[in-house]
Amino acid sequence: MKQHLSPQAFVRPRWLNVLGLASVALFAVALYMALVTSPPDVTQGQLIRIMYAHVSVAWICFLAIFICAIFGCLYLWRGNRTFDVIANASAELGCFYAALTLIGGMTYSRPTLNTWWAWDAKLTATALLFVLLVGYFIVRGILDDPVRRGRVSAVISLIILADVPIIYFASEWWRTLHPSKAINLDGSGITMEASMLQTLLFNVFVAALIYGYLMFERVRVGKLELAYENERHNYYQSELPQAETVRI
Amino acid sequence: MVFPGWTAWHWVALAWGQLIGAYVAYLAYMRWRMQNLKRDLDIDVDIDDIDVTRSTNPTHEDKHG
Repeated sequence: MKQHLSPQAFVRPRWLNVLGLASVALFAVALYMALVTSPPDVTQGQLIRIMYAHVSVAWICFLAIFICAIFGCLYLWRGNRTFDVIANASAELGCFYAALTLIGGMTYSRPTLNTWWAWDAKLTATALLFVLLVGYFIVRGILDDPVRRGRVSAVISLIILADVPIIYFASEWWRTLHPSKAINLDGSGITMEASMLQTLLFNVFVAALIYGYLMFERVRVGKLELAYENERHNYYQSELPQAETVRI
Repeated sequence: MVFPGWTAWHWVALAWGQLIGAYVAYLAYMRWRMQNLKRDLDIDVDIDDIDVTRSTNPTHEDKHG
């Protein structure tokens, strides 16, 4: 318990405020680039400006799930509960970003493709990702034993991670309504205008920075939750012998 | 049509607005959770020399007299 409960752990570090302010300032710059400096698209016109919000959020969703799986594996390996706290924090943010990806995608799809939703491979796999993440928290809520909860969560995080490449390559593997990728990591090139690419990459960078800030904030909440759980456990442990002596 | 008369800029504003709104809502939610937990644990983070290892839960006597 003392491992997680040093008094310094609850004092808000000053650098976290600096990171938060830097995130807000850079988000304003990213917003300006997306809404003002980026040129309109040949086919989509001004609607391309939604893409910067949608794609950056989707990529950070993948990042959050990757971090969750990494720390889940570390928990399985080392058994340190801090790793479970970090994995849980990243899963929550992954769920948050998955919801934003779905809602933002629908907002982007309606004016460009004339539909809110289609049950194609990419969209369905993304919806499945969100459902799996919700399931992750349901399972965590069911399991009382923290060690079992951490282990089961770690295994679920690996299952969730397996969905990420399916989403990423869905538009190549199957015919989908979702547009194909403009940035191909297999070396086949980038089909995007340079200033648009610059704006997109800056938006991704800022979204990653905001994710980092939210992670630090969420891990602080997670450490408090851990402290509260330990307090509650100690309280019931100390109360149990007294309760047994009560005769009604 | 669900949104008659909406221009591209309306959709752009909706997409970015929901992103900003989600960030603000999530931060507010975390702040609320943090405050609840600090209240439950009786932690005052403004004081540096807090003893967070002590139990702050009510005793059996506190609850039942």
